[in-house]
Amino acid sequence: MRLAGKISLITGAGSGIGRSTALRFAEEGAVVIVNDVHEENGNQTVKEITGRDGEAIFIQGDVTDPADVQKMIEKAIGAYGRIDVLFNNAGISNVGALHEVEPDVWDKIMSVNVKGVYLPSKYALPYMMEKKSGTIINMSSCAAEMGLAKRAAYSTTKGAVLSLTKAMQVDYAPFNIRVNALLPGTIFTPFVEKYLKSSYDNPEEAIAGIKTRQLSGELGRPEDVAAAAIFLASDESRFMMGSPLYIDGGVVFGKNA
Amino acid sequence: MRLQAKAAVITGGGSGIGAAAAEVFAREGAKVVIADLNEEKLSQTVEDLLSKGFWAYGINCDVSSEEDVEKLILQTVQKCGKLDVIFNNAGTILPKPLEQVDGDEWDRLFQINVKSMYLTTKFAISHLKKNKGAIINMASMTGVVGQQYNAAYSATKGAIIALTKTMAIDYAPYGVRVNCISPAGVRTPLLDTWLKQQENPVKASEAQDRSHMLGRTADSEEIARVALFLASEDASFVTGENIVCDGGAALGYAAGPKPEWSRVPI
Repeated sequence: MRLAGKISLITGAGSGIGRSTALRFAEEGAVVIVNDVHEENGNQTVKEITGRDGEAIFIQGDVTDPADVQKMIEKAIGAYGRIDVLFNNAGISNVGALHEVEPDVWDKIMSVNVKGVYLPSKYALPYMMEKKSGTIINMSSCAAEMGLAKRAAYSTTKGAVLSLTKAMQVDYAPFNIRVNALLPGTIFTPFVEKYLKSSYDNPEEAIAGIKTRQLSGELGRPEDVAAAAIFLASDESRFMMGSPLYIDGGVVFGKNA
Repeated sequence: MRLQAKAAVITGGGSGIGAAAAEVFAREGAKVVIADLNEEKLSQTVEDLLSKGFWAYGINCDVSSEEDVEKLILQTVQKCGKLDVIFNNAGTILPKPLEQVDGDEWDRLFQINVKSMYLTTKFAISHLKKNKGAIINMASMTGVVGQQYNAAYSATKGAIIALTKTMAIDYAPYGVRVNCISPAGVRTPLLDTWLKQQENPVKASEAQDRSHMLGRTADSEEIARVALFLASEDASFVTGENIVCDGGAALGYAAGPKPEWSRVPI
């Protein structure tokens, strides 16, 4: 098993890519600490893992709240004594050109998507530094590399996460800690499904448009991103540091070509 | 003159790259509205430009305040009758390892460096659309490659590069161009402050120079001239770009002082 015994904390693991990754991590032998702001969703992920004889616990917490995050890390350390893998996955999206964004919406998305990477890292890093071991995976997006129409605030947060990943890698490489980023294209998650249904008169047409944007001709599945996360979490990627890993069905390449 | 009769707002224009840009823009015929939080530096820069016979106007402004930025744009349009160029230059640093950054410091940095660009756009985009204007955002090489003990700052600059691309997509149909500039080391008051905080400022300054392939640190005007290019018609087909203007600092394997320079006497 590729993640045998790895204590792995995944934020936003109550749904979508987070849940899929939690399930796959457990299948690969990881002990999964499931974090989510929604208790019911988080518990459901744990139930699915333990139902398949995997090991998981749920720690409820808001990644934008320093006190919550600190408590979450202390609980995780209290339960397992260390954190081997931190997957900063929690995130939200927002639709609109920049001038259409309301200030409180701007603050909220910056807070969840970027501060939500900084805070868990801030409180987990000292334990990783002490052990001189650890891996952090940050959720960016291919929107960080090429922008995306009417996703100004979202793209901004993902660009921040990508450069934060690189800067973190420089600082924590001396502690044998690896920090890498995932850059998915459009993945068919509950969020995307809901967004398509609420924003388009004809959701099928919208999906067809996204499909043609990706060279794969398909939307990605949460499992596709989970597979990449397993690779970055495992020792197989021991020489990958500060890297952006694209799981985008060829969006970035297709756009550049 | 390359910015003849254009009206430009420069945030953080009281010192450093912003002040250099104010002079470069004014020299090329622009009406320059300078926004700065520091009243003393603001009036010094404005007076300096006026004494040289240029058009300049100063507005005291906290770029992270919605109210201040709304006022800035309103007053600019009242003064100049229009708005063609915004140079979102204001910014600050937070040089320390991520685990030592306080939540409040993190928030403040993002408000000054990133939210400021959102606010100027929110209030100015309708004016820029009328004139097919240009927006220039100040990013940094650290947004591309990261930098030691500068994680939060690097994060803001990566945010700006992605923001620039998305803005370019959304405002291209209106003829508004949006680009950003990524310098490495530039001789500014901000850099001097950082150097003074280092253990050995003289050595740090030398290392700073040698971290660029060109072996020296840029002058503010060298960056201001890139902003001039992006503001002017010379860049009429350039949008969504991050112009890296780093003296080769990101070239080669080495971060920090380039080993190439160890073979060359200063």
